[in-house]
Amino acid sequence: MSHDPEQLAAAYLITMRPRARRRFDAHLLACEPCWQEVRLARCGRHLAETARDLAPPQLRDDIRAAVTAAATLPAPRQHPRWPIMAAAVMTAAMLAGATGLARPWPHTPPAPYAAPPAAITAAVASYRADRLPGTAVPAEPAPTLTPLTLHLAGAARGELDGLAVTMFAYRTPSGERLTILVSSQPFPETSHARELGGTEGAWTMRASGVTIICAQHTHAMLLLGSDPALVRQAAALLNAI
Amino acid sequence: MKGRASDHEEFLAATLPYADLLQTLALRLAPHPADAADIVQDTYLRAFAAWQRRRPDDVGAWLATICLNAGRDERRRHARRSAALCDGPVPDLPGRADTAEAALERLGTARIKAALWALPDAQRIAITLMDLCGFTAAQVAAITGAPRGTVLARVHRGRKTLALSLAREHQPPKRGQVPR
Repeated sequence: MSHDPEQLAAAYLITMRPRARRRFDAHLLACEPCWQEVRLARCGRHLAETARDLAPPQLRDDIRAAVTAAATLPAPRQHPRWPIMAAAVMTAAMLAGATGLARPWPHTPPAPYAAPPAAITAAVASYRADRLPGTAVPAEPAPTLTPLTLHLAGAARGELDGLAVTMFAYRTPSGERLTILVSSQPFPETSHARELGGTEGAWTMRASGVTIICAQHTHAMLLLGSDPALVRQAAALLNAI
Repeated sequence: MKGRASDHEEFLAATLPYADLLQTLALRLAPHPADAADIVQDTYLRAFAAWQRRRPDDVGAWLATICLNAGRDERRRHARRSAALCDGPVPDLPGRADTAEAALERLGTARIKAALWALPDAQRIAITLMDLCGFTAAQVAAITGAPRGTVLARVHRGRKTLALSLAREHQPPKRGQVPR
């Protein structure tokens, strides 16, 4: 009787019911090709099973922090008002420019207050959720990133873990996103961050697939994006590094 | 807001027990541990967003499905931003604190992991879901969207290839190949 040893052995080791298994057990004693199939696959299964991994202890804490931060963000709107917000920000920028008040970001000196590190986690969650941290129209103009083909897609004032921030969201024509967060207070440096060489204290880190650069000097600006090169170029354009 | 806050506690209680399973799966989707950690975190954030709309019947299979999607996206991102080619993880070399036995064991596991990486994607994912994560054939079929028969074939062929590739490594060299 012709049969397919590969198909039979696969079923025997994975899904065969007890009665059929008993019949196949008897068949194995007489059929060398089937026996070889079963033996090899058993060996492979045993080897594969030794490759299990455990999540690093820190990962559960990171997950908890990221989910908690996502839970505290405002719920997404049915109909986002970003285009309206963007238009309002553009108008504010033009008005500020006309009166000679336009500045790429506020240069207030760092206050002694240090925001909790959860603000960084909240910033990452906000970026990943593609969600603004509030609904108020920003007072300051949006930094210009058009040389990098990044165009303003939305902006708003709000809070991230108790830290007042203004968020500017940009997009390239191909859909790559970049977010700038500006605060009057310094963003806290986390233990995961490393200082960027050749800068006045700018630091960078990567979390959940997002590259973050915190601007030198005031540490009051964060740039976030999935493309590390784009984040770095934007930071350089804004003299943040 | 209050609802979302209690939601997230309920979500974490239901999903955190699967962190090891997702880590195992993510490490078969991205060659570098840092990228795997990103995939796991991404999985949890996507899952939390979906959790607020509906509760899954099979949390483990649901998370694994999201993890596979997150892994594909991470791979696309990685391919875009990385000019360097990477065929798989570099096996860990034994550290100074390793005993000889532990060192051998570590190198052994590293070889198995490298052999898993050498399998075609579909076989590696099917083996990971079934032999490492413990899903049944029906669950793997639902997670990957492949017919059950295809899942069986992928798992079986992957197991065989794994056994054969590692057996070849342990075969003694032929007389003419002995290094002088």
